[in-house]
Parts: sequence; structure tokens; C-alpha cells
Amino acid sequence: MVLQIAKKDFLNNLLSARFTIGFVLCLVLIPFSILISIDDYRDQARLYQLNRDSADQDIKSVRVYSALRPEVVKPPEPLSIFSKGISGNVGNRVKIYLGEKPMLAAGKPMARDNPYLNAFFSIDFVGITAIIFALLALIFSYDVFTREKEDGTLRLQMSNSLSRSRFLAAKVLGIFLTLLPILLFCYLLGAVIILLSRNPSFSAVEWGRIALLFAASLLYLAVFIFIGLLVSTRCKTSVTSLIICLFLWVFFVFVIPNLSVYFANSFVRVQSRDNLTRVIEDLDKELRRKIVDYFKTLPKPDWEMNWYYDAGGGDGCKELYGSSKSLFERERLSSAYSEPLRIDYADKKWASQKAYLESLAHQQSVADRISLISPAGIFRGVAAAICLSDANSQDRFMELTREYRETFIRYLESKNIFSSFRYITPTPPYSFMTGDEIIEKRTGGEFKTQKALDEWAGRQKDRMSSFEKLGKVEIPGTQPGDYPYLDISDMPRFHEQPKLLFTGLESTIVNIGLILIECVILFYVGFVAFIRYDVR
Amino acid sequence: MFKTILKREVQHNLYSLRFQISLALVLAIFIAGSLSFVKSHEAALKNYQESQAQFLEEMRGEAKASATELAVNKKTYTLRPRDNGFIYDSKEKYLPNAVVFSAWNVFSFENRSGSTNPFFPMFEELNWSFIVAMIASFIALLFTFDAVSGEKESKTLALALSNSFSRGTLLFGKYVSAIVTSLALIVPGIILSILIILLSGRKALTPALAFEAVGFLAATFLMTSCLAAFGLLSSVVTRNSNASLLLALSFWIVFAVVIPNSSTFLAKRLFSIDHAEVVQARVMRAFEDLNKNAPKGSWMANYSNPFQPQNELRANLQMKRSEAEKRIRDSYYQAMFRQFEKTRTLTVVSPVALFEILSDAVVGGGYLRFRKAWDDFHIYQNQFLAFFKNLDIQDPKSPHWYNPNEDISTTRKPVAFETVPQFIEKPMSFVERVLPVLKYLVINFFYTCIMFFLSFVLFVRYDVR
Repeated sequence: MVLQIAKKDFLNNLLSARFTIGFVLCLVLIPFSILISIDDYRDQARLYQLNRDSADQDIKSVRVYSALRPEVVKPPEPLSIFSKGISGNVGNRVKIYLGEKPMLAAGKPMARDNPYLNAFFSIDFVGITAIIFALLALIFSYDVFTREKEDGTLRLQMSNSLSRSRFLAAKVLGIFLTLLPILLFCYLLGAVIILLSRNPSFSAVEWGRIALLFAASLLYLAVFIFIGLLVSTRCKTSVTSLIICLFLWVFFVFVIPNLSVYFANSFVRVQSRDNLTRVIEDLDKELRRKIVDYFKTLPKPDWEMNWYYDAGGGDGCKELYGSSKSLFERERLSSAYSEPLRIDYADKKWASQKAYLESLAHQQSVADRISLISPAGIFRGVAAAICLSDANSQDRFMELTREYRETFIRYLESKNIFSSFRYITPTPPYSFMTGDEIIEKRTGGEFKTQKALDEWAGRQKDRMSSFEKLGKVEIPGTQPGDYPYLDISDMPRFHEQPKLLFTGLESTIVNIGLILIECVILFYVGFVAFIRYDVR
Repeated sequence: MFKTILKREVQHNLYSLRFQISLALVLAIFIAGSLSFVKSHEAALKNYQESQAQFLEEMRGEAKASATELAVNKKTYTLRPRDNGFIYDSKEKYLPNAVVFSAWNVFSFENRSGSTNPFFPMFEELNWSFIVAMIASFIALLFTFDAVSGEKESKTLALALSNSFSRGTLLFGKYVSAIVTSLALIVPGIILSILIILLSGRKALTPALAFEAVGFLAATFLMTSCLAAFGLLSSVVTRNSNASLLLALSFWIVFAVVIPNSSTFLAKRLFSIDHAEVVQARVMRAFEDLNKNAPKGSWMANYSNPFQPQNELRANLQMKRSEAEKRIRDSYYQAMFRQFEKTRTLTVVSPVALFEILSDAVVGGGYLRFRKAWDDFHIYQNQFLAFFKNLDIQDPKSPHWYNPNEDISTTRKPVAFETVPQFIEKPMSFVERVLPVLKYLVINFFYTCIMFFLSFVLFVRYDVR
């Protein structure tokens, strides 16, 4: 009997205008949302390729360890095609510095080419699913009892030997049988479009996670079906039930997700970013002062000139060529002092950076907690976690980059590199010369000492003329091009954690549990209400 | 007769459950949104004041060091958070809100880090515009979707038309009553919101606020009229209210959700512009060409003697590089502006998107505001440059070789900070707000007329039995 009623409802629904319109809506919107997301993904993949090539090129073309600062580039997440989460708001590049721990990734993809287009938001598969399936679930369930009551068929049904619980089960089954094919169709359509587009290609784990997303969608669908059933049991007419259901739809799907974030944004304070920048700048100033003070205590070199000097990279980067032995030695001693200190200061800065990050995370968690009021809020959170585009995934990535920084520092320390000449120059120490030796060689023997050159230059109209004398004879090994790039084959590389089927879902267990509890409570309350329902 | 129909329909709407629930929801969101705005605006203003104080402090330090340092150092000017953001925030937290400039150039714009929490998904603030775009648009459809099909189902349509009034009068009566009812929901919310804002002391009751509130109501009227016409259309093309409802909701999803949220995709496809890295490569190529063709010794520096001839060569080269980069970047920015404007024009098929464009104009925010600030900044930069050149010309110790990046070959004298011209963002005038959106007003009007006319034609041929 249960199956018969379910079948009858299913067939009735199948022939109804609401099924046709709902199906057409899905048929148009789902491919559209997937195509938009694939396009976004390809843009991100192109950008990732560019960034990665550039990072690889940079790291391969260094000649001194002080310029060796690897950059981690995060590949775009293929599953973000289904749920973008926060992937558009956070960057994908992390430069590993000694003087600062990675805090937030650089290079926001959404603001890349035209930041004005941020005025237009974008929607993804999960967003569309959350809107349409909540609506369809309510549209098919709002009049389950009221319509039958209005038509007089409910009383007729109840006059049979069929119990109310079995009748309710049959009705629920009928709605599920109607909506399940549409939901399944949407996922299959999405999968087919992805398979046909070839880029991105999904791994078995990713297809498994899509299956998890489908399961979450089923739960989401169930919640709204039970909401519709509950409203239907509490209303006397279909019109009343419809109006209440529609307002619940707007409230849960559109109002709460925005309200939760806006409330958290307004009422939960985060530390000022400008303030954090000032704190970091002050610490940098303090560090620079200490380095300069130490530098002043070092013995002066016999000749204060480098034939090539580059400190453009910051973070202790120094690249010297053609300097005198004493100048090389002063720079080596300076780095041996400054670099461990720089690492210590990174720890000092981290205290403020961590507090800032924690305030951001707290604000976000408050928004998440408020959004638990809405099944749509929970579903979007769960979907973002499944698609690895939530804040936790980004946090895990940043944590890995911080760990990688520690590994990188250990690698440098294991080579005792900060107190080595290799940190600042590839010039072998045996070829170092005194200032006078350099001047004699460079001037082709015209000047034997620095003093003689200075005296001569002092008599000239243009003091720059001394450079012309120094350029007379080129000394091999005093230009970057005279040396090969560093062999960094032993440098540890950044590896992302392998993605497993349930990676990153620990934090969503509570949310999934909440949806389940909501389902059970709503069904139970609906059941009790129906038991006491006046069918006349 | 029209008056009678209108009165009856309005009364019917006002006493309906949908009105009561709508009113409760709308008022609750107006209150929540206004309270949130008061709190968030306070924090945003504090951050802005801190950054502005720092900006001025840095400028003061540079002025004290030397006029050239003040002129060549890049500075970032942040736009003030708008105090009418409770009407519409124009999504300014995601748009460029700061300008990077020096006396020599207005370099770029940026969205200041810290404008939003990066761990948040993109969200809409619960301002008046959100309430109207999401709730009032929905309500306008809700009051019209069963205006014809519902009456047909309850068999009252044939009865109503047996009276001595035309079908047009009946349809128009229903149409106007839906608009009146929708506005009757919004007006109390707006009054409540204004009261909360006034009591909080965030804003005083000024003619500007009154103008903005009235302008916003006019935009609301236009949008609800258009959506009510769509609601009627859904009602007359179907024979039962369930199908009308789904059709009306489909319109709503497409207008309020799909079109506003898929424009970036269309923009990239239809009005593509160069990627940032292509532009950067173009700049680097221009630099290389200039370097190649520069006279020998152009990169030599002698900081101890400003009058060294190499300094002039380098100043010339730096100036040419700066001008070349400016040309390339300015043309890229213009392409960005055009891409945005074309995309926005594309979205006018949605009455909700049209409403957002009109709301931008009403509050003088978003893209319109930034474009004005961007243009004003160029005027200010010219004044700043003229001021600097005037200082330089008066200094006999300066070689007067203008170099936009270095402080060697122009005056090194300090300058009194109080005499330095400052940029002050001017609010947009009425003409500046209305003129750019005039075409959208016309589109909205005709769009509504066409939809209502279509509904009328279909209703005339509607089988009322």
C-alpha cells in the first residue's frame, strides 16, 4: 500500500507543471553554473602555471644562498568547480622568507585582471543546488496534506486500514521518488560536462568526494521536504502553507547566509590590519637597527667597493662580486649575525600575526555558528569542506607552508650557510684579493694602491674618471655571469598533503550530524503533528 | 471603477497572511541591518581615521625631509567609508578603495588589505538595497503570481469580469495594488532604519539624506513595478496558480540570482581585456626599448653631486620610462572601465540588476564614486606637480632635472606641510549621479511598459472560465 501511494504521488508529480518547470530550471541553470565554474577554474589553472613557472625560474637562477627564497604556489582545487567557498578571496602564492612566517597567501585570483568585476558576484553548482532544491522540496511538500484535505481525499484515505504513519511514509517516499531523479540528473549532467571538458580531470578521490557531496545534497533535500511536511501539517489551507514555505525558503537560503556573515563582521571585532603592519614595521626597524649597530662594530675593509652588488630581494639577500677579501669577510660576519637574528624576529612578529589570524578565524567561526540556523548555511559549509575550498583547507595549506619554512631553515642551518661566504657570493675564498691587489690588476698596473688611485682621482675634474681606470682590465670571476647557478637538488621541496576521501572533513562531522538531527526532529515533529491532524 | 478595484485589492493584500509575514520579515531585516551597519561603520571609520592619520604623518615626514622626497615617494590614499552605506554599500569592500599616487603620476588603484575577512565567502550586507533586491522583488511577484490564475481557480475571475469594467481596468488595478502593497512594506522599514541611524548619531537628518531616501524609494518603485509586471505575466500565461508560482519564481531566480551572479563570466567571454601579466610584459618591453636607446651612462649615478651630467641623462630616461608605463597602464585602466560598463549594460535584462545600478547612483557609491575620485585624483596630481615644480624653480641649488623616481636632481629643501595641496574627496552632485544612469531609467520604464502590455494582451485573450 505504501508503495502504491508513493507510486501514485510520483506519477502525479511527474505530470505536474511544477515538475516540468523545476526540471527545466535545473536543465538550464546547472550546466550554466558548471560552465562558469570550469571557466573560472581554467583561468586559475593558467595563472597557477604562470606563477609556478615564474617561481621555478626564480629559484633556479640564484647564485647565492641569501637569494634562495622558494615560493610555494598552490594549484587550484578542481572540486572548487562545485563549490567555490573562499577560494576566490584567498591567494595562492607564499614566498618563504627567513624574516617572516607565512601568514596569508598573496595573489587573490578574483582581483587579478579587473577588480571592478568584483561588483558582480559569481555563483557555483552548490549555490544553485541549495537554492533550487530547497525550493523544489518545499514546492512538492507544502500541500501534501492540505491539498488532500481540501480535495476531501485525505479523509477517504484515512478511512482505509492504512495507518497514518504508513501514509506519511508513503507521502515522503513519493516526494523523494520525484526529486531524487532530478538531483541525480543534475549531478550526472555536471559530471558529463566535466568529463567532456577534459580540463580539469578528476581523480578517483575527487569523484568519491563528489559522491559525498551528493549524499550531503540528499540530506539537505530531506530537511526541506520535512520542513514542507511540517508546515503542511500545521496549516489549514494550501495557500497558507505555500506562503509560509516560501518565506522560510527566502529566510533560510538568502537571508541567513548573508546575515550570519554580516553580523559577525559587524559585531565581532578583528584586529586592525594597519595596526599589524605597523607592529611588523616597528620590529623590522628594530632588527635593522641591531644589524646596523653590529655592522658598525666590524672592522672596516681595506677597500669599500663591490664590482657587483645586489640586495634587491630583501630578507637578507646580498650578492657580492669583485670585492676585497676584507669586505667579503665583513659581509660574511654581518650575515652570520643578522640571519639567525632575522629568524628570531620572525618568531617575534608571529605573535602579533597569529593573534590577527586568530581574530579573523574567530570572526569566521562566529559567522559559521550563526549560519547553523539555516540548513542552507550548514549545507554550504559542508559542501565547501568536501570540495576543499573552505577556510580550514586554506588554514591547513598555510600551516604546511609554515612547516616547510622550518624545514627550509633547517636545510640552510645544516649547511652552516649563514656564516659561509657561499651565503653572499659564489666567489671561492682562495681567489679573494686585497683592495690594492684588485686596483693594481684592474688598472693594468697603472696604480699600485688605493691611495694612489684616490690621489689621482682627487686631482681630476670628474671623480667618476677613477671608474674608467678601474674598468681598464676585467678580472675574471667578478661578475655574476662568471658563475653557474646554485645546485639546489638537495633543497627540500614543498609537498601538499595527499588528498584522501575524508581529508578535511573532521570539522564538518558536527555539521553533518546537525543536518541529520534536524532531519530526525523535523520528521518526528511532522509525524506527531500528522497523527493529531484533523483530516476532516 | 478603477479606484474601487484598487481599494479592494489593496485591502485584500494588506489583510493577507503574505503581507503580515512579509512585514515581519522586512522590519526584522531592516532593524538587524541598521544595527549592524551602526556597529560596522564605527569600526570601519576608526580604521580609516587611523590609516588617514598615518598617511598624513608620512606625508609630513617627507615634506620635512625634502620637497622632492614628498613628490617622488608613492603614497596610498584610502577612500572614506561612506556614511550612507546603510542604503547601499555598492559592494565597495570588494572594489578598489585606495589610490596609489605621487606628484608625478596616479599609478594604480587597489583594494586595501584588511577591507574584508579573507575567510568569509563573498556576502551582501543587509542594507536597504539588499532588502528591496531580494525581499521586495520576491514580494512583488508573490502578490501578482496568482492575480489571474488564482482567481480563475477559485472561480471568482469570471464573476468579477461580469461587472461593467474592462479587463484592462481589472489588470491595472491588480498591478497597481501589488506595487502599493510592496511599497507599503518597504516604507515603514525605511523609516525605522532612519530612526535607528539618527538615534545612533552616525548621521544627521540632512537634505542629502532626504534626497537619497526619496531617490531610493523611486528606484524601488521602478523595480517593483517591473517585477509586478513579470508576476502578472506569469499569472496570465498559465492556467493554474502552482504553475504561475513556479514561473514567477523562475523569473525571480534568474533576475535576482543568476544574472547578477554570472556577469563576470559573460564579461570575460564577450568583452575580454588583456591579462595583467600581458600588460606587465608590455611595460617591461617598453623599458627595454628605452634602455637600449638611452645615451651611454644614463644609468650612472653620482649622489654626491646633483649637477653631474649623468644625473640629467638618468632623469630623462626615468621620465621617459615613467611616461611610457603611464601610457600603457592608463590605457589598460580605460579598458577595465569599458569592460565593467559594458558588462553592467548587459545585466539590464534583470530588473534587480537595474535597481542596483540606480541604487549606486542614488547613494553616489560603487563604480560611479570611484570613477569620479579617480578623475579628481588626476586633477589633484597635476596641482601637486605644479606646486612641486614651483618650489623647485625657486631653489638655485637644484639642477631642475625632473626625475619621477629619485631625489637627486631637484630641490632638496624641506617644505611646510601646511602649504602642500591635499586631496579631498568631493561628494557627487545630483547631476553627476543621475546623468550616467539616465539611460538605465529609460530602459527600466520601457521594460516595465512592455511587460505590462504583454500581460494585458494575454489577459484580453485569457479564457476566464
